[in-house]
Amino acid sequence: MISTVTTSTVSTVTTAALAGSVALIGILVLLILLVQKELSSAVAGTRYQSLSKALNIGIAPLMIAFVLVVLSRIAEVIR
Amino acid sequence: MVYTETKLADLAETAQAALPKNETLYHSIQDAIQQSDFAEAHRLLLSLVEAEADNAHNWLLLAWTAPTYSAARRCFERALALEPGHPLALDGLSWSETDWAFRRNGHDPAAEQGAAATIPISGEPPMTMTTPGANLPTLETGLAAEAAPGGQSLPTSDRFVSPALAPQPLALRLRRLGYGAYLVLYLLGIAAAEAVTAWLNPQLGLLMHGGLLVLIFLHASLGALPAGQKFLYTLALAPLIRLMSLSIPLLQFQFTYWYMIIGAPLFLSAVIVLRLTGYKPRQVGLALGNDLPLQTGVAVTGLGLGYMEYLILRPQPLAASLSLADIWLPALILLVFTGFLEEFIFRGLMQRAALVAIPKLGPLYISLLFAVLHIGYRSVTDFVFVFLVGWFFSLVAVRTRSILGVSLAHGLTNITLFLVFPFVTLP
Repeated sequence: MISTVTTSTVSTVTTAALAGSVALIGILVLLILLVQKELSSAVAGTRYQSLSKALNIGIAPLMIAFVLVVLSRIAEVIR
Repeated sequence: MVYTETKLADLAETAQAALPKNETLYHSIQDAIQQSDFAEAHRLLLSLVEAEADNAHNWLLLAWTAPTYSAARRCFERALALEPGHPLALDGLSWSETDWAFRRNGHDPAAEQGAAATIPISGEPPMTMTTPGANLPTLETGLAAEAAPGGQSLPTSDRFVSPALAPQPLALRLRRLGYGAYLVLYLLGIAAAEAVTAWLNPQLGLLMHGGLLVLIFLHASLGALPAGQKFLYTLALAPLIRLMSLSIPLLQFQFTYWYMIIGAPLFLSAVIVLRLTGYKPRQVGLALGNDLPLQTGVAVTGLGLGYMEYLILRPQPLAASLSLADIWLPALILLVFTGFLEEFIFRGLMQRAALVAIPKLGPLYISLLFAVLHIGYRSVTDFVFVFLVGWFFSLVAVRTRSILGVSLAHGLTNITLFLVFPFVTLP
């Protein structure tokens, strides 16, 4: 019972080309959340402030994923 | 003395201590009160009062969450009849209608006397207090009470009509109905995204998860009632799990560490959700809880569950051999980043919020969601197995008010599934 790593996770990330494209999708979602956060922060009102805070739920882990993607690319270049 | 939500929450705690039965209901009532969802708190209290009609605390809570002053008075009177001289009940009966309405909403009546007569109830349309009975949801206490317009007589029947069932503005009804429909759509959407990821196109599936994540955030913050908002915050973790597990470049690392690399950022998200929802750790099962023998027994079931799932999935081992040197680290990672983390997310955060947002269907919804996130194994048998185990864990977490036992069971299931049984010769 592991919902984080399933067979489809394994088969996806072990295919190099596929792994690259799904990483890009992760970064795209991160960008959308960051734009949303910027917009909601600029608008007055408690609901928008609440949205701005809620977006951190997704931004924080996806930012870590982004850093790992960048580091892995750098490692590939160095090799 | 101003009776604010804090006071109501204190009363709920007192009533809970007096009656260990109906614990789940008390939790839901406390949550609803803390979120100023008086209509929901009142609806739940009506069920409680039907079961425990001789508890004065229940009647006091019912009074402060009542939709009308006359209904509140009848509840205060019932509390006083059960506990003659109870100071809170006496206080309540001494208030005027305006006092009650203002205190119920955490205002100071002395400072606000003569102010606007429209009292907003959080998450609901304004309730006009100057014309009692007009346009208000009513708490009717049987035909006798209905016949007494002043509402001064004690109810002759214990059968109540919940304000949730009484006439409500159409917009509010639609909003509540809409919330349930959205939850079903989110579940179907996540299931569809998982199926697409597993069978058709991982990129498309991931885009669907990303879209759902954005939608859930928008809905939670801009469109949901307070109780629903918390549940949506926790629900956002579901598409996030898949986004994280697929977008992190795991190939650079050994398979053993994958769970930790995905789990650590997810744990950060779960902590952010915990802070946003305002739940205390014990409210999401981060406590020893009660019934430790039961929790121990449940933890041991992990061995059997691991064997059963091994028979279904037959996975490759995560370690080179069954020696202690090879398995201690993977075992620890599985225990923490699958056992504890997943139980914290599903049976802790999500279930806690679901029990308030959708009280009767909460465990079922969470178990279905848990099973849906296992579609990636591409096994119908495993889907059914995980759903049943998830439901079992849900019931245990509710019963024990802790995720300790289920976390150990979940961790042991994965340890035996990936580290023990693959090395054991099986028929």
